[in-house]
Amino acid sequence: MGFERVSTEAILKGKVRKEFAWKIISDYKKYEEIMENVDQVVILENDGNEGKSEWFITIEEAPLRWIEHDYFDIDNYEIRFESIDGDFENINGKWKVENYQNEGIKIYFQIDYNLGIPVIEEVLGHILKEKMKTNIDSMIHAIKEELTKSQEDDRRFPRINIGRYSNIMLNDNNVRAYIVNLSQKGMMFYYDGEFDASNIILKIDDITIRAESLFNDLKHKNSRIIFKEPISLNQMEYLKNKFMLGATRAYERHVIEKNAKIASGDTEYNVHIHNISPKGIFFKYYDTFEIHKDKIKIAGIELYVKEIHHDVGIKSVRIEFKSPINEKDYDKILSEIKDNNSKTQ
Amino acid sequence: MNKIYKGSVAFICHPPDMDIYRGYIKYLKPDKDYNDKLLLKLFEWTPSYKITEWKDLTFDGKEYFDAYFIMVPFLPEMKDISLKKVIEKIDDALSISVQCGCKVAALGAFTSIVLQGKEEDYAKKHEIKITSGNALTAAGIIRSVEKCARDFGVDLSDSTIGIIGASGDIGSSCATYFGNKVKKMILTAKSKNSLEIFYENKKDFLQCEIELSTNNAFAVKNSNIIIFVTSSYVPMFNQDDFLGGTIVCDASAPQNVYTKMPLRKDVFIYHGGILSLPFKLDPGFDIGLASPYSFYGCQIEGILLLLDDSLPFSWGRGNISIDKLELYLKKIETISNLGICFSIGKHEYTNEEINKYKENIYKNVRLISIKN
Repeated sequence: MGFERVSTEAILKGKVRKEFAWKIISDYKKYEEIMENVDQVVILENDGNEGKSEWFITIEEAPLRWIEHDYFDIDNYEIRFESIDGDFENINGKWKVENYQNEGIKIYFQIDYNLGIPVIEEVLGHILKEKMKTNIDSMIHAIKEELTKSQEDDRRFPRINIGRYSNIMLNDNNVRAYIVNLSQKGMMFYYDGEFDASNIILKIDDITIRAESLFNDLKHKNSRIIFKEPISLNQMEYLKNKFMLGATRAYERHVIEKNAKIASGDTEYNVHIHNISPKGIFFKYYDTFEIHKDKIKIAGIELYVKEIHHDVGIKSVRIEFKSPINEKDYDKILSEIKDNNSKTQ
Repeated sequence: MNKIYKGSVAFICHPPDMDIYRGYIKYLKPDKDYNDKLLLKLFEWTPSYKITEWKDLTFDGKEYFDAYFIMVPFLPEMKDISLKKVIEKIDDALSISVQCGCKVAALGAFTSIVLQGKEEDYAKKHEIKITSGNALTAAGIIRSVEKCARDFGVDLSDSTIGIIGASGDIGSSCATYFGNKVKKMILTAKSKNSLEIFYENKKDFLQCEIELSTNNAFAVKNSNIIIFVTSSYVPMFNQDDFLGGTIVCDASAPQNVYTKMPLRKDVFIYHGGILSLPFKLDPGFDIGLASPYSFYGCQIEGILLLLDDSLPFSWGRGNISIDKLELYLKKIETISNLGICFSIGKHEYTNEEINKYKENIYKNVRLISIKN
């Protein structure tokens, strides 16, 4: 007998980020806490991109077990899994998080299964399908509940935008991070280094905050941490002032007006850079310019493109980077493009 | 010679125990092992279905019929299943029987107990003859005990018969039959009250010494012939519990006596209520029988009802009169190639083995008599 498919989706409207959903969906260990039907998930292997996990779930008192190969695609917010052993002949599927209309996200969960016991499977077919559907509905409901909780926290503790670099003590290391925003319950920042996201201790002057990572996107170097206890309003005010007043504006534009080379894909383009900041660049090009795979390279530094405004008529390009360039790289880029003496073509 | 086609019969069955069910799943999916709890739940969710069918069967080469084997996915081990759900499954199985064109449906094992007292309603609803098959099962047990006694040289009139589960439909009919043929009967049941009611109703037939008890072990230790006809779904005794010289007819499904190889040489234990056939009824997997040329008496009663419209079917409890029993006892004698067979588990007793038992049983039965 072939595969049976069941699928379900949940839509969360409002200011909910795909990263939040990804953090919950990709954290299999959390499933046994938040999903009634999941008894245990044993992570056998996980290198961030691929892994193996052993699942013990109960569907209406029927205990089921299987081992699956997991593929985590953070760029597309998609997890695919394929069973390699267990009670089902096959149980494969995927989770996917995507933007929903103008604001919000859609979480999609699909399972293709094949019990593999002839006769019983044929007779049981539609009944098992109903039970599998109920099962995946309850799983996605649990994910939605968990996400709603964090949204409620967001509403209870409004965020203020910071947009500044600041020095913070992160797990006893003095680091310079780009603070995106802050609330009494959490903080989002960019930081180029690595840190233990499982047990975070944040020290800023006399304030010590224990936190856990809501998501830690190693590729884009952005992290959102949730404080275990909300900080007081006084502490919030203190941190806001420290971050806002004690640091330079993070994306101040530097006027360059020099020729330089920008690469994308395998091609290097001659351009004239008007200005640059840690958050973007404005330049004109001479012949052609094309972006490959949303990446450009300046002075050997690879930068991810979030948005591009390309005016073909006057051959000008304005790019916003996906994450701010860290200070070290930014200094390197500035020094290289300022020192470039090639003449305007 | 012209063939006479008599129609179709449905054998409505369920696996008698977890072992048989596990074997069935292994037959369907040989390369995998599943945990029992999962298997039970899957089976609980599964609706009734047709397993197989056998065409052009005949006892005598004149009258032919077809048989359909219909599974009611139920096991006595299903502790959470509601009675309503089991009845629904049997109801579905009867619908399937009608769809297959069956005129008679024989209810096997627990399906007959569940529908006991409601047979008429369901027969009317589906316009099909329904039988529990208890009359032929009882007749098969009686004939097998008589044959054993005769072959082993055991004098029934000097014997004590223990009937475990004597207040049930089959147990009470066996007790009624043997009531004036043996020296003593020890009748046991879960409730002594039900035994007393039975005794009051049938005391004209119960001429021998009668002891009513709820103590099965007492009956086992004090009888030289023991018939098990309970609805217990776990074994109650094992082969070492019996005195040498005892004849044990275990007609319960699942079996009440746990046996293992090697079998005892001084105690003859066999699967009661099983009859031999001239044709094969082999679904391809183990259904708890030693030979494909044997089948459960309760289901064969369905065939007999199909072949002979005048035969009474078995409904309810305590309705197997001596007259009805005699009709079925006669059928065993008169239908070509229908007979008594002796087996236990997957082991079919050979004539040579039975001859060896004869010596041991006869020798030991004298010892039991002396002890008593």
